[in-house]
Amino acid sequence: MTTTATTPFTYAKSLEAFDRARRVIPAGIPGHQGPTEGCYIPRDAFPLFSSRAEGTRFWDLDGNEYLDYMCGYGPNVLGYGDPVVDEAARRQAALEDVVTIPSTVMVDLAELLVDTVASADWAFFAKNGGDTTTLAVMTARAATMRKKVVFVKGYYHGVAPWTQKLDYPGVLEEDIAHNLSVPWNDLGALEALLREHRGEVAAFISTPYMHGNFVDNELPAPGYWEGVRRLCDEHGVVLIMDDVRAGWRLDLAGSDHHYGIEADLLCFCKAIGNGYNLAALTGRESLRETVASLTYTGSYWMSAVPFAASIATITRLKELDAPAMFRSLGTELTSGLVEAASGHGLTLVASGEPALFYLRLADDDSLMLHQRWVAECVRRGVWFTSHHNHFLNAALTRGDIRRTIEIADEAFGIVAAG
Amino acid sequence: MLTETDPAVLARVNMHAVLGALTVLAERAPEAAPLLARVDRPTVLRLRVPGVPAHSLRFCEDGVEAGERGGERVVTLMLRSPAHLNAMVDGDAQPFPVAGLGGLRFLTQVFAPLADLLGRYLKPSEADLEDPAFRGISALLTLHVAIAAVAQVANEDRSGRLSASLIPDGQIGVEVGEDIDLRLHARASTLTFDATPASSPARAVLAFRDLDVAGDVLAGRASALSCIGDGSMAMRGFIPMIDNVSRILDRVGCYLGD
Repeated sequence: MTTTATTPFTYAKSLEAFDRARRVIPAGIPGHQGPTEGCYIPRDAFPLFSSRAEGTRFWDLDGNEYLDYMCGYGPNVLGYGDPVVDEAARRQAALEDVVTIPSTVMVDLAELLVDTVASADWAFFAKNGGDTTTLAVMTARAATMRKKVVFVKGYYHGVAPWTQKLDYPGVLEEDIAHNLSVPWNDLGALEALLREHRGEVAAFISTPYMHGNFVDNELPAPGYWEGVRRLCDEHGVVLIMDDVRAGWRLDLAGSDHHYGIEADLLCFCKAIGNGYNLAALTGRESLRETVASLTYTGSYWMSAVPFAASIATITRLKELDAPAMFRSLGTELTSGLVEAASGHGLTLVASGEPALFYLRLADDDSLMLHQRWVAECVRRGVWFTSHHNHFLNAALTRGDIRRTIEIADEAFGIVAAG
Repeated sequence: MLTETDPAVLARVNMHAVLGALTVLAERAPEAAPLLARVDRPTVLRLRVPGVPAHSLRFCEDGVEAGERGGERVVTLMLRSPAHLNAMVDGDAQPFPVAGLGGLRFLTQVFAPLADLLGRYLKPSEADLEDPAFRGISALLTLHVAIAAVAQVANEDRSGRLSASLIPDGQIGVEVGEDIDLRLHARASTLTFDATPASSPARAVLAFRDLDVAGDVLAGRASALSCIGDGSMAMRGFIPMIDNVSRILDRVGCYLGD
C-alpha cells in the first residue's frame, strides 16, 4: 500500500486548557474521557479537548481533525449534528423542554419503543445508562423479594456503588454484599450458582456479549442465551440485558432479539438519541406494576427535547437499516486493518461485533506495541482508543474507511520499524 | 473499600517493608555507614511474632540484607502479638530481646540508631526535605517501603487479595526517571517484590518522572491522578496490572498513612 506520510499532530492549546481544568475540576477531566482511565496511552499522544464535531469527525482545540471511531463513547450513531435529528430537537425546543408537567412527546417515544423493541411492553425514561441498570436491579429485587444479583466476570454496568468492587474507594462492603459472578459463556457455572443460591437470586445482568476492555471481545456461544433464559425461568430470576453499549447498533429490536431471546428488562442509553441526553429501561408486562411502584425519578428525566431527538434518531436508523450498514462497514474496516497489519508482519485481532469492533495487536502480551500503534494513528487523524471497543456511525463513508486504513498502515509501518 | 485494617497484615508490612528498607538505608544514607561500622561481627536480628512467619535481617559492616547465612550472632526480638510489633515500630513499645551482652550492645548501638535514622528518612521534617540529597534518599526509601508493602498487602489483606486476584502473571515495573526500575512479580495472584536490577521487560509499567514526584505521591503530598494528568506520572503496558496495583497502593496507604 502506498500512503502519503502525515505530520504528527501537536496539542499545545489542549494542554493549556487542561491546566485551566486541573485548577477547578478534580483530575482535570474525571472519568473515562480523561487521561487517567487507561484509554489514552501515552497521554501526550492524545488531545484533551474538542472544539467542534460534524458527521463522523471532530476537531480538537489545536484544529487537528479526527475520523472518530469512538463516537462520543457511543451516542453518535447517525453522525455528529445529524440535520434530521437536530431539526426535530429544534422544533421541540421551540415549543418546550423542561416544564412542570411532561410533554406527550414522551408518550410518543414510549410507543415507538414498544413498537420497535421486541421484548418491550413499556418504557421508563432516565438520563444515563447507570440510571437504567440501577432501576433494573431495583425492579428485579422488588419483584422477587430477593437480594442477590449474578454478574458476568469483567462486567461493567455503570458506576453506582452496587456495580463496583470491594477494592474501590468509596464503595462499602455492604454495597456489594449480594453480588455473585460467573464467567462469560459458562452455562454450567451459572446453573451451579443458581442451584447453590436457590431462591436467593433476584437477577442475572449481562451485556449481550462480552465487550470488556483489555481483552478480545467474545460473542455468545451457540445456545448460550437460550440457556440463560431457560435457567432464569427455572429459578425465577429476572433476566436483565444491559444494552447500553450495543443497543441500536446490532438490532433495532434489541440485542436480546439479535441473539434470539427476550430479556425481562432491557437497558438503553448511548445511541438512543444521537447525543441528546436520554436513557430508557424497557420491560415485559409482568414487571410493569413493579416498576410503577418504585421511587425513582430525576430533575431532567422528562425533558422533551431528547424525546423528540430520540424519535427522529430511531426513525432514521430504521430508514437506513443501520445495523446492516454497521455490519458491512465494520467488516470492511476491520478486514482492511487486519490486512494492513499483516503487510508489516503484525497480527491485529479484531473481535466483537463489527459495529463495535475491538482491536488488539497480538504481537506482544504487554499491549505496548498496540498502544504505540494507536498513538501513531491518533497523531495522524484516526481516533482509536488504546483499550476500549470502538463504535461506528452512519455518517461514515467508504472513503473514510480507505483513509483510515491508509493512516493505520503508516502507523503500522512506524511501529514495525521499532 | 474496607474501613478497618488487620494488625497481622500491618505486622508483615512493618517486618518486610518498613524494617526491610534498612537494606536500602544502609546502601544509600551516608549516616548509616558509621553506625554499621559498630557491628563487631555479623549479626542476625530475628523477629518472632505469634501468627506471623519469622523474619530475619543480617547486619554486617558492609550493609544489611534479608535472611541469614549461618554462623552469625543471633539476636531475637520476641513480640507478644502483631499489635506489639506494630507498636514497637511506632516507638510505642519495647520488644523482649533474647541476646547476650554483645547482642544487647548491637541493639542499642546499631539497630536502634539505624531504626531511628530510617524513621527520620521515612517521616522527614520540612527542614530535612529542603536538602535535595536527603529528599532523594527519603523518596527512594519511601518507594521501596511502598512497593514492598504492596506485595504484603496483595498477599495477606482481604481487599489486597481481591485486587491481586485480577492481576495476570508477569512483571510490573515501577520506574523512577531513567535509573530506578523496581519490579513486582505477579504469579498465580501472588505478588513478590524484587529489588534486584530488572533483567527482562515488564508487562506493565508505572513511571514517575523523578524521585520528587514519587516521594510526593507515595507520601500522600500529591495525587496520583493529578500527576498522570500533568504527565509527571505515566502508565503503559497491560493497564489492569497497574490499575490493580494502584488499588493495592491505596490500601497500603491505609496501613502506613498517618
